[in-house]
Amino acid sequence: MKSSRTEWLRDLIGIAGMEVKRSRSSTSRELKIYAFLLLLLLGLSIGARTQLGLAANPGVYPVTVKNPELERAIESNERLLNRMEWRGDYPLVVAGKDADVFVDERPQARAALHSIITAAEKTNSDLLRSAVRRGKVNRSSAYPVWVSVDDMETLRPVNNTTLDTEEERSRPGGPGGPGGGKTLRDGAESISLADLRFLVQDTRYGTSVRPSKLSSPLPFRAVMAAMLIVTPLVLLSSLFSNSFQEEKEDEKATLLFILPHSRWKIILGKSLPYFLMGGGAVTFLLVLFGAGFNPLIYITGIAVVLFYFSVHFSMSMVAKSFKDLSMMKMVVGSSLVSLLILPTFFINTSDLAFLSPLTLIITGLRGESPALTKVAMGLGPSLLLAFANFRMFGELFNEEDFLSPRTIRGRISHMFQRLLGSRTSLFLYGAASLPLALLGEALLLPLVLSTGMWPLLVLGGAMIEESLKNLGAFLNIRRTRAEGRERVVAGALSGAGFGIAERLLLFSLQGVNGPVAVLGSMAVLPIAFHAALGGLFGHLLEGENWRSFKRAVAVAVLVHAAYNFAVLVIA
Amino acid sequence: MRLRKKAPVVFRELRTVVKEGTVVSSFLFQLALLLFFSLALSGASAFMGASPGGEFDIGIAESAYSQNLSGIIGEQAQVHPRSTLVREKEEFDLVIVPENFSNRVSLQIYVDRSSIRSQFALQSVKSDLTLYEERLRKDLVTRLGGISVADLRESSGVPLEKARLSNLRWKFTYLMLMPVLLFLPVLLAGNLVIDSITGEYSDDTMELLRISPVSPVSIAFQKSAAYMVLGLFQAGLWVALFGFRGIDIQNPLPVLLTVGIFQAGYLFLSAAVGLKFRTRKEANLVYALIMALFVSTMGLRYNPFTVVSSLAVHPIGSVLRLEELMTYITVLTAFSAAAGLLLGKTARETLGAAAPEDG
Repeated sequence: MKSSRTEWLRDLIGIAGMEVKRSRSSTSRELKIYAFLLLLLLGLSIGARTQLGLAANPGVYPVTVKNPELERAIESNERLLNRMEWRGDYPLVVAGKDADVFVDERPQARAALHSIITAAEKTNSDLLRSAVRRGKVNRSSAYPVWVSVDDMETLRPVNNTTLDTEEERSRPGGPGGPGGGKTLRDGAESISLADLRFLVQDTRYGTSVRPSKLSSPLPFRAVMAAMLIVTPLVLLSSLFSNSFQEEKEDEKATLLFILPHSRWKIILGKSLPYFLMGGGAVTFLLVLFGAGFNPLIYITGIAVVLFYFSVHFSMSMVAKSFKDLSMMKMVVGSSLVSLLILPTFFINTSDLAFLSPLTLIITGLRGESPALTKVAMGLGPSLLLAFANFRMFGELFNEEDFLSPRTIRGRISHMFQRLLGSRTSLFLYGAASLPLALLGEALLLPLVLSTGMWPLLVLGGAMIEESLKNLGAFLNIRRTRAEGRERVVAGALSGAGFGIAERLLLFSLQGVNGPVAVLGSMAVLPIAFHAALGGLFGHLLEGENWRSFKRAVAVAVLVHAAYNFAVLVIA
Repeated sequence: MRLRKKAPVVFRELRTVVKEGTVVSSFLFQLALLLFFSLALSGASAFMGASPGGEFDIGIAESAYSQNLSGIIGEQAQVHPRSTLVREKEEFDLVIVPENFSNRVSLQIYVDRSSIRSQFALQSVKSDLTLYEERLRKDLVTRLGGISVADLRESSGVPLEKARLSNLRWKFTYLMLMPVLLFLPVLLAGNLVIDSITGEYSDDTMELLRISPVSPVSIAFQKSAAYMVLGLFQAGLWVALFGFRGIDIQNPLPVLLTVGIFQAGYLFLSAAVGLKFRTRKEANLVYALIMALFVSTMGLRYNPFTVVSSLAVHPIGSVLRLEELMTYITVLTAFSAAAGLLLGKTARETLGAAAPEDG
């Protein structure tokens, strides 16, 4: 047993070694020189930026200010430009010693006002900090108001907190604490490497801070940190998917298929070097952010890497050419980044944020311990999707499919037909299509918000959900040549899978509270509705071609939209 | 017709791009990005736009200092015994326990983490307390040579949250969304020109082009020109869409001219990379680094992003002086000319010489 495991591992390392060798030999010396020079230039450029700060948009707020103290403050903010000689032409005028402010109605004027106030606050803050440090000013006079925020759940009849202690003051955000002077302040113009670990810090729960330091519900820093974590994966996953595409284009893949190994071992072996690089890069960033010895953060980091790479793996399996792959990388890649980053916008305000595993990383870096349900919510879908992607699209890694001249749609359809043979697989397909449906609906939301056309969400949501869940049933019917009642069952199974996954997600978000009868109907009715719509689709499907599919889906969409509309009206 | 004869490669490329649906994919990508940004803005607006005035239920725990705090926060706050607040905490958006008002003010605030309304209430209290803090230390700050921010705010008549929201929206539209959307087609076009050239090598059609009556240098430039048309068309479309949405652009033509000149240089460079490396893998890797280098130029005082933002916001001659703009355009033109020379040289070396055996 032990020797077979060692042998398996040796094979795996052998395949990984082959991949490294192949990648190195297919890279010319010239490319290495160019890549080195460009990387050097890039490093110099980023290094210069880190040292000098961001000088973006100098003078974008032209103002006219005639107040000596304020003029000095404005000089410290490169975005503000004081043009005294053109008074009146500029949106904002501050005149006189008493700083009487005139602001006109233009949005740019209010934007400039906010920048002036930020510059003034920074000047005051610097002056006070320096005066306190030199002992010229008493700390209590400089910082007269202190606030500590806690969860309402911790409100008790008797007060057991003491704020005015040395311990509190030394907390992040306090004047003597690490965040007091060094945190990246709202409106600050530069980011240095030392600020990196403060990107994810939050001056909120259980921390005593000045009122102006209370963070906004929009966690700009956390979103920035999330973006930084994803950045190395963009390039590495691109190299990863290219490696499979190269095998296809060079027609060397036939050599892979004659190796005496299973397809899964070959896939894993080929992927291993890229997983190690991706995992290494993310781990390095997490250490920089101050993850310390919190295993949950690193496990979630690895889950993000696996999820990201699994999506690129699926693209490389279905792409016919490099051109296909490039286009998919752009469209799917941007959606993927959105899917990972968008939920983090709600990190301070809603548990929805845990739909992205990056939220788990950020809360971990902030020193918080999320509840087990939230850990499951953040880790579960990404790990499951990663597994599902490798499992499903790995089905195409065989000589016939991998090198076939089929189109993307043909490949996906062929893959599902291979996979969706059993009723269990159909049910699982229905459940697995939920994240895709949610992504589509999330992308629809801004359009609805900006136009105010709510029917668009009612109809669009129905269209996305019905198309996705019934696609599985359709492919299953095509493969099994199902007729009559079997078609209804296929549709209902896919619908039930979708409905159950949707309810589980909803209950994990909202919690399970209330009378059993209400909860039961909240769980059963929507599941039955999704299953019934799937059954309706199966019943209406006349042939096995795409035209029949579209016709049957259209009816299901209309019924679904009518239901959504009715629910909205009642609500 | 005459143009079609003179530039056959341009038309061939455009036909292929339209036929393969590349234009649609490219638009889809940009739309996805726009949606992403829009959601960010919608979220931000919703959060930042919360009205701070008297619409929240804020409970203040009864103590020796509760009346002081009530005076700062205003009508939306009600004083109750602590036990009542604990018992009925679901009724309140926020509960504040004043712990000290003697030598310094210490407050304990309790928020409902799962309620967005509670977060709004916190922002409202934050504004009130910030202003209160500024009033308390006004004399100290002015004695140290600072500015009375409290006076500045009150004299402007613009509430803090409204100014912050305006700043967020304005910065997002002009300093982020606009440059990103105008330069995105350029980056996509660079990728497409590389794909097109390396595709000719991998499909063995470059030889056919080489033996056509079109000169090697012309082939290279015509390929770049085709994607330049595509890129500029998309950038123009974005400018029109901004106008349609009521987002004013002060100098639309100079904005497009700046994008166009930069795009020419960028596409010449991309085409040269495609010709030099021939395989998609190598060319794409070098291209990715060039793209990263371009994005990293955002730290420069004058970079394409900031110039486009300035041109969109200010009349020429105000913030961006005419001589500065001319200098910048000259530098950009020199970059494009140098990239053009490089492309010509690479085309002569690679397409002019005999084709290598491995193609």
